[in-house]
Amino acid sequence: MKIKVDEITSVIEQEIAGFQNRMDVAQVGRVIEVGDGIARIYGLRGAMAGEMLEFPNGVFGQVFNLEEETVGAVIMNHYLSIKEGDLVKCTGELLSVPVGDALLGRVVDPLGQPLDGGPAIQTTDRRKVDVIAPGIADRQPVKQPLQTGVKAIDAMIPIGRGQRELIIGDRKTGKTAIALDAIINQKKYWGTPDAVICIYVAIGQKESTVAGVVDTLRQNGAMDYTIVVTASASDPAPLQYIAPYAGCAMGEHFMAQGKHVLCVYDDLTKQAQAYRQLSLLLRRPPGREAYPGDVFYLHSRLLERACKLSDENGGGSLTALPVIETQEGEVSAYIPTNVISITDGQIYLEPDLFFSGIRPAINVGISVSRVGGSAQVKAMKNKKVAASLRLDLASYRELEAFAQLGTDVDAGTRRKLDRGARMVKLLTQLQYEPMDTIDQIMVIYAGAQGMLDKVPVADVLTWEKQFLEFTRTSAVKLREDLNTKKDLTPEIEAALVEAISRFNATSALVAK
Amino acid sequence: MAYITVQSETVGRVYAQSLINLATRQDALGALAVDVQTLQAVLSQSPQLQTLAQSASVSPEQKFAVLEKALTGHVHPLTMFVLRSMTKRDRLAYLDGFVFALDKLLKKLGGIIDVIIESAIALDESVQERIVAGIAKATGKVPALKCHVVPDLLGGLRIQIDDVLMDATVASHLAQLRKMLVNEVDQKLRARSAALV
Repeated sequence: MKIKVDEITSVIEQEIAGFQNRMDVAQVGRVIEVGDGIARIYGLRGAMAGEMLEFPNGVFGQVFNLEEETVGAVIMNHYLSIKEGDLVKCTGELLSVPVGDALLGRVVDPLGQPLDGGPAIQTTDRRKVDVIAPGIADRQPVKQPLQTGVKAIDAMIPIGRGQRELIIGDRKTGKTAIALDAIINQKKYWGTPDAVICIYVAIGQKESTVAGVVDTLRQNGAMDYTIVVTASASDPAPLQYIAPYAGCAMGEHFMAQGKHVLCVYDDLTKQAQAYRQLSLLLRRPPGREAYPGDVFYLHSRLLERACKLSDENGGGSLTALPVIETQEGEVSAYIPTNVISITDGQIYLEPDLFFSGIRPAINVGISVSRVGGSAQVKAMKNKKVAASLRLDLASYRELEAFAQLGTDVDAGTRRKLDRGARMVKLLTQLQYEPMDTIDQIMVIYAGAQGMLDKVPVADVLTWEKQFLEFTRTSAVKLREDLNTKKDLTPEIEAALVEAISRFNATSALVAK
Repeated sequence: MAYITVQSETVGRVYAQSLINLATRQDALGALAVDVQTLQAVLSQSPQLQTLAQSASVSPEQKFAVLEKALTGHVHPLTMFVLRSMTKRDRLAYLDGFVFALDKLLKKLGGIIDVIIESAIALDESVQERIVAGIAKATGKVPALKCHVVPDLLGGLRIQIDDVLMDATVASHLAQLRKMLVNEVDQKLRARSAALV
């Protein structure tokens, strides 16, 4: 039913009749310098740190520096319309963004304005962008897994809901791909109590890249539960600086409702560079690598907001996957070491692995999750599954050099090398094809227990695909039991061994 | 009004404060108040003077020679003394900042506040006096009034006292009404539309 014209007229007349004009009183100042996204304002003696300022023509800024006679501000929109002498008003408010279900499926800028050509965001809820993280008493330990669908991660570097896990590596090593796989894998949980709302924050990236990411998410049905916040390379530095905080604020709205959120910050290196630009323009003293002295605090206060809330506070969680780009593998540079010390583990991607065909190019030897087994289902952390996998890979790495030299080795060493090569192959995965936890448990068990030793290394992934297809038709009860109990009980293990043996007996890939 | 740079005001304030300290000891603050108006008039009527003061190709002695010729007999000797000090230290480029800071500091000492009134039509003197008296009573300070006519305001007054702006103009009220109609009416109509569905 449509609203009638006289109804609209009556609402307008009602509002006008009830309108009470009031004198507008505000603290003001005058612009004395403007350029490069920052402005210096004379006056505004009552301005507060971080307060929003209103410039002419609908432009907004934020107070950055409070000096004796002037205020240094960063300008959030386009600064070209501002000129010397313009009047600037204090708003008395801190920066906030719109939050709520209306943002799901949308692509927005860090101020919450839509960028996807869709209608305006209709929500009355707003949340401050820069807030203090929840205290110790409001949290509980991370113990619920966040399944990324990437075998190498879920088996050996498990991520829990509320954890901060850094994805670090050189350019073009697959960092964004891992984050996108994690987002796409949440599709199976959407609409269930374990649903995870995803927020992808793109900072300083090419708009074509972001368009590709949105398209990928849309094609995989992931945009239904995802918000994309973007401050591209052509956006002003202030927007790139606040983008991660805006995305986190949008996520905290859902976390406060007891829901689970995954925030990907891609990438924080560019946020640090934008912050450096603003700080240098506002003449803050430069420190190491010309970054301001509080660049650690820039990231720590963002990542501390990722947590698992206590049951009294709703039990919601916000998991953070920050991305850091290194230069030539230098993980001991300033920004990478800062973020490594803040997060609860890191996933390290190496170009050498990538170009040798191991994708995702995760160096499992030096990647770590400080939450560990607490964030894994019982079946996965069983010593015959993930623990065994880790030992096999560690032995393989030690002996890999012998394999390259082509020297003669004893039978035991040969066995370890063969097993390791198969496990490395087993951990490779196609992009945007996240794997279900149950499937991961079954195939890793098969590899760890030597049931793939007769399969040529090159056919391991084909074996995996065919075996999983086999279980969907011929081992349905096994899958149901594993899915329900999430534990490798003796009965389930026996059924799994039987299924693998039955498949191997008939598979052409297994040498007889 | 041309706005001075932060650097100019910062440097100028040092010399302005020194001049005030000297004048206080010699009980010459009243003369400084006159000197400020003289210097402001000179700078606004002869913008070339500031350009000369900032020029790198003219020697400090030549710059001061021009200032001395223009200002001797029109400003207090203490003011000339400070200007000579600025010249010796090659700080004459911050002359505008010095004058600005001196004006501000003297106003602060004298309890004077700048008041700017904007209205759609020119205000007659009785109205201005009433406004000045009201502000003086409310703030306990002496208002230094400047009036501007801005027809776009349509009616009412916009008064700026130092950093505080009070806007009771018709244009402001119309803007508030527009904002209210756009935001609140839109929300009410959406709520009604949702209820009908």
